[in-house]
Amino acid sequence: MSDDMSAYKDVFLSESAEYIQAITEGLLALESNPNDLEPVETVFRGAHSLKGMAAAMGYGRTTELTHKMESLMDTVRQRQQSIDSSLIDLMLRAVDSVKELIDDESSDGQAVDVTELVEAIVERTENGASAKEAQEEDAAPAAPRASAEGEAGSLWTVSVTLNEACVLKAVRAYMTIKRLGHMGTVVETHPSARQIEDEDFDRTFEVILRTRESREAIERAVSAISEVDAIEVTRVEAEPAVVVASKDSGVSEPAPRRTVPKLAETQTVRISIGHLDNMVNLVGELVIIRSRLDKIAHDLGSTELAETLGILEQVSAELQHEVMQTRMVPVGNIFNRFPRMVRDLTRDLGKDVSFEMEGLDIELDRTVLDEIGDPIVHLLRNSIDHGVEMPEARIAAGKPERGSVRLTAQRERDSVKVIVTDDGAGMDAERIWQKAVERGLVSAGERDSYSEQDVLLLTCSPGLSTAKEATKVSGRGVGMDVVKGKIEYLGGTLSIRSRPGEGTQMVLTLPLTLAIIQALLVASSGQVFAIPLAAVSEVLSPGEIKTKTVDGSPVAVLRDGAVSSLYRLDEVIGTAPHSKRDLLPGEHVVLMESGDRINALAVQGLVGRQEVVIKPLSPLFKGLRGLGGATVLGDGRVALILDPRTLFSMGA
Amino acid sequence: MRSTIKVLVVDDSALIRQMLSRALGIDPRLEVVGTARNGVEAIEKAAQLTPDVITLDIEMPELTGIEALPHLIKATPARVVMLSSLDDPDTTYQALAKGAVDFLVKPKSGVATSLTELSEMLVKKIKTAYRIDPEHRLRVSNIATASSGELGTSAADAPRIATKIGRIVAIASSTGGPPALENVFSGLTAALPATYVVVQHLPAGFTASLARRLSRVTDIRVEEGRSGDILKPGVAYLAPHGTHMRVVGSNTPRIRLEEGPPVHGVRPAADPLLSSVAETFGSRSVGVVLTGMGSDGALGLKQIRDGGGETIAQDEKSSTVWGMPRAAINAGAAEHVVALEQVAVEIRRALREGDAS
Repeated sequence: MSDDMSAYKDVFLSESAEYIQAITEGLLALESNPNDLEPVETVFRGAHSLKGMAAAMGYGRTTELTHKMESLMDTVRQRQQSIDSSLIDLMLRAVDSVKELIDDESSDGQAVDVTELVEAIVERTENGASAKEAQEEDAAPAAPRASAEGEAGSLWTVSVTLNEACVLKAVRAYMTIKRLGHMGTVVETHPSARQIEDEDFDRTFEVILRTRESREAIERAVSAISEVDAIEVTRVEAEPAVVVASKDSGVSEPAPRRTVPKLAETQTVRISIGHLDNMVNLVGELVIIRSRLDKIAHDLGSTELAETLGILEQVSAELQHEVMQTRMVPVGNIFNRFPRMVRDLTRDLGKDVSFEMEGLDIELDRTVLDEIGDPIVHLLRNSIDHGVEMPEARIAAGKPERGSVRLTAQRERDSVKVIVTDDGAGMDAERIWQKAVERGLVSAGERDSYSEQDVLLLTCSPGLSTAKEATKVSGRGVGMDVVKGKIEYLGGTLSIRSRPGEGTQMVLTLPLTLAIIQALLVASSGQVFAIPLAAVSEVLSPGEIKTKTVDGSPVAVLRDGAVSSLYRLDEVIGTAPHSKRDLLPGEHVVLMESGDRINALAVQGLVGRQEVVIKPLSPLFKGLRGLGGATVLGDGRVALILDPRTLFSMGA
Repeated sequence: MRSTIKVLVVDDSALIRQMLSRALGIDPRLEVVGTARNGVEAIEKAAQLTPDVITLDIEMPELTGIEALPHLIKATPARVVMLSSLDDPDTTYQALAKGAVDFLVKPKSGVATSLTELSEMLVKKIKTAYRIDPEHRLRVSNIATASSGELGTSAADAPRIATKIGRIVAIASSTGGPPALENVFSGLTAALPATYVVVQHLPAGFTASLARRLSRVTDIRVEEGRSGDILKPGVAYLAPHGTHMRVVGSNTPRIRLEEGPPVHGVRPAADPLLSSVAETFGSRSVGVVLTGMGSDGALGLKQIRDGGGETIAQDEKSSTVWGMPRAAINAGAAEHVVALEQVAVEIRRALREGDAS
């Protein structure tokens, strides 16, 4: 394969993933509100573009399948098809197959056969109309738009004022009218379509629209168009029949709409992840060289060099910031696959759940983002499987039949919170406690020292699940401890709030970035180790340390009189024989938080505090617990970075 | 030294944009000055970069190629070459009627593997497009809108269909042909005592759609010619892709499709059709050569003229590409040289005279 071809293949793979995502989102948006035809356009165009791209790459089967999808969506677009769940199912199935096919064809495979699926799509394309008639009896509430009357809904006057600086007035106006046309019927425009095309209007034009959509939906749709300054939506006439107007808000509220991201917006400059990682590494090198130069300048006592280094420091700090910024990716990039997952899951479980997401544009470092996908999936599954009750149970409990699960991202000062909230059955702290006692995880007498939150977090201990029976989805008790472990590994925390009967909220607090951390450098056995500062709660100097022996093991006595297990770094890491557990004179003790415990770690000396760049350990060290990576210090020496999460569980 | 041709590539797919930019960049005369991924961007970038030629995709988010086209033509002197997909000839014709100068069909598969081939064709089309007078685009779109108004009346005024074939009208066209044919046919009716045979150079899959499109502007039935079809009055036969079309049989004139090698690199070609018309109908022939690249049709038209038939060539000003008509004129084949709007008038006159004689 030529270089060109392989470069094209990379572009194809990443771009096709974008289109697949946009199609999936479009289908879900369409399912939740079949009245708005905008997502139909998105799906149609997505299939069309995929077809063109696959054809360009010479991927015949992908071309064929996407072509059939395009044709089917074209009949939907022409309003020859009803939009029902069987259509959405078929298209989603097709999207899944497109994914598989692309994997297959791009690796020259022959494994995936879509003949049957293609036939099903063709069948639906050709016979959709008759299928629609057959189904019309059981009155799909969806798809009233396909009907010939087309007169449903209220009549609105939509007055739109374009930005003063707008240069493409006619184009913007055209786009507005087109967008509104997807929501209903454009009855007329002032000035006329012809005058608008000739830009024969000032800044304001009016569209008379008949639609079933709400005022908010109209406003939202129009405001999504660039260079629109003001929108005024006035109802001219209410919907003629069926829905009896209750006071002034007579129009039945449609299902909450998912905004369909425009394809154009998801496109950005493409940089291969390899380049990005290299940049981070190189900036890391720069930081290291800078600190070495600092040391040299200090040794030489040259003020001129020190001054120049001061400037270098500023520049390199800015550069570092910029580079880190390029690694920031909106959480939407991984959140966007959840609606589909939730939909399939609720369907499998026979539940009725509305799923909403918020804060999709909040950004996180790519490395963090890559890691939190699975934990979030697990939390969502928990919420839907264990949290939200079956519809009957909800009605019996006096709750709305339809459950609600929300996924929210929020930016804090230097962290991001990802919150999964459900309005399900909640967690019963007392039951969890009992179970934990039964399993011997805690002793009954300790109850007072556990807060409600602590008890709820016990569900994250290995081997404790509150589900009455394990389902295929979640609840074998292995999940939550993995989630918690992963989050802590990332330097984040997990907290749980819950009220029986009202619902549960799980909060992940995540650091913005991982690659560069503040670290405490300590010495042991003649080596330097870095401890992430975030995990250090306190450092005790030799004079401050009190130790005693409990059950034959040494413990450190903390300021408040509590004790914590005392470990020796040289022993834990294995650079010293296993016997010496006592503190030696002149040694410091670092108190480290890991999860809810504090451990004391004896080290020979403190070296300082420094920003370090985490470099991954070579695969050779992969199996070693207790180490999270390595870094290069100012003097060129390599320091191992300790992983507080696994350090103390070694040999335990 | 000739100036470079500035090209703006418009396509919603990054992959296609990249492939096209690279393919076009190989030719030293072309410079890809920018790319745009939807109609709005295309309009903005066209104003900013003043490209000479725009390659325009049709299906795009926000504003499609078709929707952007009138704005592109109004706001900039750029000539637009449509990049069409095989299964949407209708939209392509619509684009041509709105002032796009030419189109290229994206191959059904393997652009990447046949990129050289594709880029050769595209480069050729872009160079041809570059030579087209920007004013021409506006004329086409104006004519297209104007002529559509005229049709209804001609159809309504002449509901009857001629019962005999007085003369045969043979028309040849290429680049810029589809809208030109629309213009010509919108000025003709089924009541005229004639039958029509037409060669328009088109890629595979585009003939049937053109036939449908032409049928909408006139009450003459326009269909793809099939071997053995007996010529009927008030019907136009369009040569299908991949075969030459001839007229045979002086008693019962009918269509014959022949594989044969391409003539002037094209199949169907106009020359075989026009000469067969000259042979079969002699002085009852009316030959017309419209806009198009190359010289196809000149020989055949000469034969018609030599056989006593009437011959018409489109003039330079109204031609998108004045290649075929010029070749015909240079060969001494064209008796009348008229503007596009006058072609139907000229044909009607010839038919009236033929009827009278």
